[in-house]
Amino acid sequence: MISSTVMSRTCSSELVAIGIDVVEISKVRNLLSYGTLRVKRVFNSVELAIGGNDGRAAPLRAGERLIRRMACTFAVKEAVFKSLGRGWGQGMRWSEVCAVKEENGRWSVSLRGQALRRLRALDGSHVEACVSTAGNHAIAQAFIYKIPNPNK
Amino acid sequence: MANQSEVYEKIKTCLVEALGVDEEEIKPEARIMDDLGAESIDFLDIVFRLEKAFGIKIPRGGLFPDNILSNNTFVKDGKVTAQGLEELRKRMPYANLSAFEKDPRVSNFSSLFTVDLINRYVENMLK
Repeated sequence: MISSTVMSRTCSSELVAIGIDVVEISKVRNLLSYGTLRVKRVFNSVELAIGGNDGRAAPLRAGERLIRRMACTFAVKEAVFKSLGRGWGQGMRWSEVCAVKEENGRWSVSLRGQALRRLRALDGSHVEACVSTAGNHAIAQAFIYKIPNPNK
Repeated sequence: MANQSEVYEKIKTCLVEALGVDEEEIKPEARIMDDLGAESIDFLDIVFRLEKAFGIKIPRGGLFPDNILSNNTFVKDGKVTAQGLEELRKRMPYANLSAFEKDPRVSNFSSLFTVDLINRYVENMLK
């Protein structure tokens, strides 16, 4: 576990853990081609809606930009799992991590279910993520922070 | 209904297409992660391909149990406990656990996921 004080936007927060993931965008493109019913096992309705999909049409039709966006979203989810110390098949669902790119370009991450319980078990208060793409790859890094108790 | 050989051939095709491996690499004993290089996103692709190929619905955790290793009752000191093994037998009646039972280290868990395991699972689903 990493424990250090970071100087960033959350300069009063303490970094608890980090996780990183790289995903091939072509694999996400392929995943999206299976249609919304199957895609919803991975992406929740908020992510699909913000990605420009109304939850009914096949996401593949939305084009390359959306595919890259969804690849970033997938990479964030995986990076968050790693920051939580849990990889694939270890009790968490992809839908428990909601990753959305805000208008200012920052990624907003919210957790629920097992993922949220794991965050609390790590004494984490919130998760941040950053993402980049290059060619066929989307790379994401997730950071778990806790707010230090001023009374301690 | 497809016979055993047809089922195996369809599974082979699914794996070749999902993982981009050569047909010759698909052997019953080949491990999906360690030998064929599957990552988590590939498991989704495999599941979706199998569903389409066989017209079945694979429930979450159906083929690859997903919350054994995160349960402290089932894992202690880096090994799957007797209770964990019992749970695996229940959840994976189609799996051959004999080798894993002899050395149930968590690091060996991924070795359970072989081509043969997928084959047994699908055959079980089609019964």
